[in-house]
Amino acid sequence: MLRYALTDTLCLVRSLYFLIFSVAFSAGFYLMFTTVADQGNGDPGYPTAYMVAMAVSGAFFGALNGAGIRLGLERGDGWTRQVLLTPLTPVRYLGAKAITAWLATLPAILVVFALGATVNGVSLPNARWLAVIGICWLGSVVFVAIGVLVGVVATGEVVQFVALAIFFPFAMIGGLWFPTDTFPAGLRSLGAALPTAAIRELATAVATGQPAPLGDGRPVVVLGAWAVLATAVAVGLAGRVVGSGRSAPLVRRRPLVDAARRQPDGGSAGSAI
Amino acid sequence: MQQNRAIELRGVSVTYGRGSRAVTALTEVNLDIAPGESVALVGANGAGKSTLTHVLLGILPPTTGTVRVTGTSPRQALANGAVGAMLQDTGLMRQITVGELVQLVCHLYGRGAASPPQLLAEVGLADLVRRRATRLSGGQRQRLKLALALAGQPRLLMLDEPTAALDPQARQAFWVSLRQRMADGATVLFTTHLLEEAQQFADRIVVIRSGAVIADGSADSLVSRGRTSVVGFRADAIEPTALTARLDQIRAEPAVREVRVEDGRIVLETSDVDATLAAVYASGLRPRDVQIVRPSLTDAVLDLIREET
Repeated sequence: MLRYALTDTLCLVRSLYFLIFSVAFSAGFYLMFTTVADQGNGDPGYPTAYMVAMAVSGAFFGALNGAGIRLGLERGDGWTRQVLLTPLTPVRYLGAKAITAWLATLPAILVVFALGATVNGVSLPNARWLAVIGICWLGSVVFVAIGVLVGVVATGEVVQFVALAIFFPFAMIGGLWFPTDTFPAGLRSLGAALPTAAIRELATAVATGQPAPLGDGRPVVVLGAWAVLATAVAVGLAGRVVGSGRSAPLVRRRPLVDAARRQPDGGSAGSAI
Repeated sequence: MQQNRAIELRGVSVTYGRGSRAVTALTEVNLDIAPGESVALVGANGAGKSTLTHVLLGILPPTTGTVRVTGTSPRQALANGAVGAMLQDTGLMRQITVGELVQLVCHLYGRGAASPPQLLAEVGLADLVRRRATRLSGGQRQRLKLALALAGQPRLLMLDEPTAALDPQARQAFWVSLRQRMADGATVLFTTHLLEEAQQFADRIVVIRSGAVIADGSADSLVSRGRTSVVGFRADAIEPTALTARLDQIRAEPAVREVRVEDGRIVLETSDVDATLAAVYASGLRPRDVQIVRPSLTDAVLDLIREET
């Protein structure tokens, strides 16, 4: 499973789509709004806070791409069916996809943090760097669960639209791209309940050296709730899809083509011998 | 101890949907395939060939009946690496090279796996190890899929229309790759619409229609079972009454199904050409310009498929 995940990750990082949306997009946004246009209006802590936000943004898309989009595309174009003809079981296949997605969150996190340190002079004690990276990476487990969900419910080209339909609102309302202070109260409350906001708040608190980074504990509760909910739904749905270790439901759609060709009386639609 | 059958199906039926919308894809299929046999599964589009293949691979559970593959369940047989398969509608991994893909799939089979370089050489892709798998031509993709099917060195190969959409050259290269495995004793079950392929590479041909097996035997037995051969010739001019008497004598031969005269030629439909020619000479006729038209496997299978409509 690990070997499959590592090869899958290698293939994923060759994907221009992944590199653009997960790595280049978050790195580009970070540089644009901290150097070209100073969205922080001179706030010295802004480069650090926005660094965390864009790292979370890139990690989220990495997970959506690594698990959701790639899984949906593979189900659509038949690779899932092909690989399940080998001893790789559906459960291990999905497990490998989750590992791939989790590994796929790392490039954006590391690249954006490296830019923060080198371009914007963000300076943190080593232990704090590790803590911030750890929070972003461990928190991304929630993104992995959401990604697997997306790949299980959508196949083919549709999966890209589903992934983007989740990514944009979660990133925007979760305050990853721009401050949410001007949002209506209802939208701010909704944003605070999203995992994107929870990871950003926790990691930002640690990065900026707040004395009580856990605050009132709300981000931890939100993140924990999402972790439990998303993982439970992902495992539950994947369980239904995988069906007790059998590959049948994961790839059931296509065998029906054979029957669909048949006439209502059960006769043959042709005699193309 | 009796050797396990490679494939054993007992009363296998598959029904999609329920009530008035139910569609029966397979009906009470019984099939035994011995180790080392090569069997072609033929039938019209939608006859149930692919459904049967999916049942044998555990992709589709049967509604009723039992399925044993290499003595165990289909999924277990796949997990053991005892079965290698090629399906029509499978794809290849994205952003991976041919060499990486073969190495990965061989790794999934563990210790019993084939050597990736040998496998690539066997299917003729050794020069394309660095090519992205999704950028191969149709024939190359099929050969790569064959390599993936052979990665676990399986005792049983299931191939669903493996040469569909291949040009004659690619088709020939494909069968050259597979023939060595057959010679080494692998069991092969393949579906095809190309009856020349079935005749050339299968020990047995199983004909399926509307989800049921309607014939099962060698190509020769299927040909002789159905349509008759036609023997036509001219005879020296003789009295009409004498000709009628001699034709009646030929008609008495049990193999002869029909005797008629068309445009001055005598035409006989027969299930045994040798016996019929012997009867012709025994009748005293001296045949000239003899033409014998034997039925093809295509004719025989088409007859079988149409028989019940």
